[in-house]
Amino acid sequence: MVVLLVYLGTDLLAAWGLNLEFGVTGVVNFAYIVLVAAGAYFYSVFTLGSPAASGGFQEYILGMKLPVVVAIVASALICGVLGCLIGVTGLKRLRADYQAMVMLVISILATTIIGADTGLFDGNAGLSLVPNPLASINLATRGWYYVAMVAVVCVIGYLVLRRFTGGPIGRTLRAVREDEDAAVAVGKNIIGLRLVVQAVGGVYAGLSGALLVGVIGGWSPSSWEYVETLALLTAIIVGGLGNDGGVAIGTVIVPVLILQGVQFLPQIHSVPGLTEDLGWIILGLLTIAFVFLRPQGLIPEHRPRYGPRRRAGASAVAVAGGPAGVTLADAPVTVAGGPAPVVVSDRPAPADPDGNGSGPPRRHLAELVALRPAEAAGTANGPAGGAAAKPIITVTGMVKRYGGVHAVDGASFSIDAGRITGLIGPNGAGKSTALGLISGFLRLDGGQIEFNGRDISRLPAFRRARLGIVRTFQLPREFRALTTIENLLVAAPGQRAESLAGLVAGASLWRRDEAMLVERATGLLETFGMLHVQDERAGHLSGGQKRMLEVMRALMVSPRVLVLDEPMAGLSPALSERVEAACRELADGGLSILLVEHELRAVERLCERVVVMAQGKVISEGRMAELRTRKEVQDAYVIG
Amino acid sequence: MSSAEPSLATRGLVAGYGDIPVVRGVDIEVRAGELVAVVGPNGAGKSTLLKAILGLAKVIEGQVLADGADITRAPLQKLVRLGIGYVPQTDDVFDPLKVRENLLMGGYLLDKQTRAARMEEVLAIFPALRSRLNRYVGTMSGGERKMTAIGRALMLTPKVLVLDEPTAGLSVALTEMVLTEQVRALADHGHAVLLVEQKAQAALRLADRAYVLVQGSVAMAAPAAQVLASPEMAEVFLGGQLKQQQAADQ
Amino acid sequence: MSVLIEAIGFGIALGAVIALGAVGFTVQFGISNVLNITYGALLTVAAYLGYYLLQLGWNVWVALAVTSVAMAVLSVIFNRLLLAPLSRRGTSFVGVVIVTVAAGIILQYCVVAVAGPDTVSYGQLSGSTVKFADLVFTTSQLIILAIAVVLMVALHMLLTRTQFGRAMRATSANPVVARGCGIDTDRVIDVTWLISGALCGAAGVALAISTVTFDFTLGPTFLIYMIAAAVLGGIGQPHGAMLGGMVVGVVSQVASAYSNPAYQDAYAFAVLILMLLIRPRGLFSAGTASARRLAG
Repeated sequence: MVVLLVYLGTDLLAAWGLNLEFGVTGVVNFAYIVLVAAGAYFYSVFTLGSPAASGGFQEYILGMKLPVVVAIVASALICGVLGCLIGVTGLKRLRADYQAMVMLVISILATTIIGADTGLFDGNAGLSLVPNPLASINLATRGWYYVAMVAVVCVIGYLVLRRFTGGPIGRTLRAVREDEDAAVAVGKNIIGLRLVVQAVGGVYAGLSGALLVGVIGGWSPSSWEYVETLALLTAIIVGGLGNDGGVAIGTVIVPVLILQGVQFLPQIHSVPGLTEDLGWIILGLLTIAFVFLRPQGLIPEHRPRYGPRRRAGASAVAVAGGPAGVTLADAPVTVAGGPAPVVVSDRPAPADPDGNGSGPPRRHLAELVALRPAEAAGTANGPAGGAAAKPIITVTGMVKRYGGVHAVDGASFSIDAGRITGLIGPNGAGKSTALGLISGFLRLDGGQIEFNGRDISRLPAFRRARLGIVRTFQLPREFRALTTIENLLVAAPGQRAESLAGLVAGASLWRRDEAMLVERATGLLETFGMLHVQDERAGHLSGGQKRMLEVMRALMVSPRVLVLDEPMAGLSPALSERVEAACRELADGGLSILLVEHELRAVERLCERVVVMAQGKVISEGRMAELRTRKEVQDAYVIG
Repeated sequence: MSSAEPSLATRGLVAGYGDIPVVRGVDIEVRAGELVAVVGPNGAGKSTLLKAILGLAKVIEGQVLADGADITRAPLQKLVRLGIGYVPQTDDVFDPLKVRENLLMGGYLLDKQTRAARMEEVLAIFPALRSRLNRYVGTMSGGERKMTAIGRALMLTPKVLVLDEPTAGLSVALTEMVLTEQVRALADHGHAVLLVEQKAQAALRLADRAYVLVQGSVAMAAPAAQVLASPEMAEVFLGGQLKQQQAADQ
Repeated sequence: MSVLIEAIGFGIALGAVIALGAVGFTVQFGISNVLNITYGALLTVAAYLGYYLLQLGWNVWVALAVTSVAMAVLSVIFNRLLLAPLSRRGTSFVGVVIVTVAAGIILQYCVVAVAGPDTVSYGQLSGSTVKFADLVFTTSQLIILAIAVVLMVALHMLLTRTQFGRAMRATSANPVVARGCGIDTDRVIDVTWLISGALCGAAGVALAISTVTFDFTLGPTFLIYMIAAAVLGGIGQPHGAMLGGMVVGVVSQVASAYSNPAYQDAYAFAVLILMLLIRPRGLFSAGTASARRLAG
């Protein structure tokens, strides 16, 4: 019983760590058990003393006799570093299943090497006689003290974990999981975040291993086969991906009840070992069943609500999520998929569910967007045709090659500060590529990009977003599992909650910041008529609503230059108008906008100056009315 | 024109993705020996119209008829057997296969002799392919690939050929070549050809009749030359309001 | 020098088996675009099935043939029951890998439950030895080599000279256009799974013969060799997998001949990891198709 409880505690720590990595952040670390093993091994060699002193029949590195607490902490920290190292392999953008396989192979490779190299940790025989950390306590009661110790570590572990999985950081990590590119577009440092998460996950793994080996007394490669990671994964999937409480329940059910519990079943004597095999078979079946039938787990991830309490019958935010589990099912929720989730709110929906024009007076949009002061570029509020606009972004000779094709072939133009510049051209002209190059999502093969006189050609995309160059995507890339308002909150730049100080100090530091962000976000939602869906999961919004969300989210980043990728596409006339009005208001407030659009009437209404691209080059610039009459433009559009 | 049923027609077709209609009540007709072009600005629903005809997009209302028979919502495999050939805009060939093998696949449903004979006929229409029979299509240029794609579709001697932007991504010269030597030639050989094109002028110069699709509806249906000459055309593409449409909105 | 020659000999023999399995794996990937980890457990099942047939007194080569057929059928059922439904529902790639690993574990532990965790052996089947120049082969190895060559040639002929084989390649390359040619893609998919299952079965039994003694870890271990071979040659391309198999076989044997043999498997593992991290589209591939698939 004691051992079972200790197993529960150590499995909890490990499962929480893996949940942080995979469930919350979407990091496919299927070599997690290696980190647990490392914790066990390092604790052992830190406490065994020299090989001669511990029986003389084992060979291993680093034999030391450190005090128990030091040994445990040191092992955990080493595992944190190892977690980062393993994480480096994940930086290559491989398809997720290949990434998973690389991790599994790393796991198998580790068992092979450690098993073969007897000098490291005594090979396949493994280490034994590892001293119990509570050796000083009377043997009879030692067990329960151990359980108490593990329980304490678990409680502390849970509290620390919540700092990462809850609050603004938890929101940001989930955004990384949902859509990395969109997270980059709002300025998140994906690589940094992933490495931090893998370090923390590693620490939890190390703790788990160290505490486990302390009670077992020995550790060998057979204790940490690659399948053990799957046992943890099953616990997480069954319990609830991304939900710490759910994961705890899953841990009780899977590693404890199933794997250990089957040992208590009556032995079938004719087939020795059947019960253990049975445990794994049941585990496998459970995994498959849940991935098929309930990928979100027993207790699905739930998101906090910010709106007023709804009347009975309303859609709960803790929506079971229908068929679309958090990470395992990518198919967007469509009518054709399983049970349709509840989308409609209980407030009488306005005739056009996508909008409502009336309501309390809106706050000034520029305020809501928290526009940064217009740069020295000057003429922010210059009337059309007034003082010559100064450029805020200048691109010179941009080149992008794909194989032998020049998608962009020496394009040069500038985006005026405080004005709306249009970028138009027929399909295949290179507009999207140009947009990708300016925002940093594509790498330049030649040419230069300047922002306020500074060369940003080599700057990574997320840094450009932090500088204020914010793009939207043509196909909306919402953070599906986050609510509408959370999609906006996560986009706010420079949140103290996401810094080290925020982690350490906790909610007291960022509570007020958060409240201000919520005000901004609700203001934006009101302006665009989407306040009534603020607590809906973004994945359940209609197509038009998702497009509006795309625009609003970009605005939350307090951009200096907003790069809009066909924002009107697929929007009803009412919504298009709303977007247009917002653009005008923001430009008046000093925001520079680059508008890539096919809707040429809107371009004419909004843009002072329009750049025309065709076949990768800029073929003309000027006011829309003029451009229409120029032969090269007509040819480009109508001939192609 | 014969009074027989058109080879391909739609009546009041409403189609889209999910429940959002992109094509809003479209009537078109294509007859044997005709090259009919569907042109229009981006987002007008041209591709969706084709896909709805071919069972690749959702038909919400309306009918698709082939020689008068109702084929609405029929799957692509069935349409192929009814004599409708399709050349998609992208991903239109089997890249890892040779040209010869692509053509052989096109003739999958035929018996060996007919297939061999048919291949000869297709090569007569596209002589440039003959010297490239043993090249892997993935290594060929855009124009050659499109030729292979159309050749493949021709192997079953379709009565109707549906082409989705065959000149997408091609240079001006290649566009001319594909449209003149490949697409026009098909109509001249007696097939009914339905062509969706972004490059309106080029397509209209060669087509017999045209439909101008704007925001999911037919804004203009007339002989191609008439559409080409109309002053409203430039406006439609460069963002002006089409006069007829304005009148309709009033 | 003779160490090298000997190692090359072992490498060729092993390479033939790896090639068999790798081709089966790559064909599956080509048609389904799914990383099927369960393939490893299926290799194990094949090996043990052969073992039981041997216990019943059957000739080992007959057992190989029968096992191939059995695994062919099992593979089709596996696809229809598990993999195809997953793809239809739009399960993410990670979800599919988790399911295939889980299915592999189920199969593996069923095998353990029935046959026990200890090693088993087909017994001494090697037969007499034959010398080719300085290379020494046993008759078993030669027969396996021959089987592998025959099957590879047969597959090559099927894929390049028959309409159905071309239809298989076409469906793998572009299912929509394939349907546009009137190809019954469902049937093509079933037959493809039959073929890859048969190769899996043959490879499993051949592995058991080559390694003489084995246990339930046979499948997963050599699965990695086979995936390494498939990736080396460009995932989804049978000819690449054939060549990759030989390369992996020879390289791993030569490497372990000059170092601690306990690390033999480790070389194959490292090759796969490095390939995926550095050049996922393979060494001798047609390039874009494989690269596109691995980038998701």
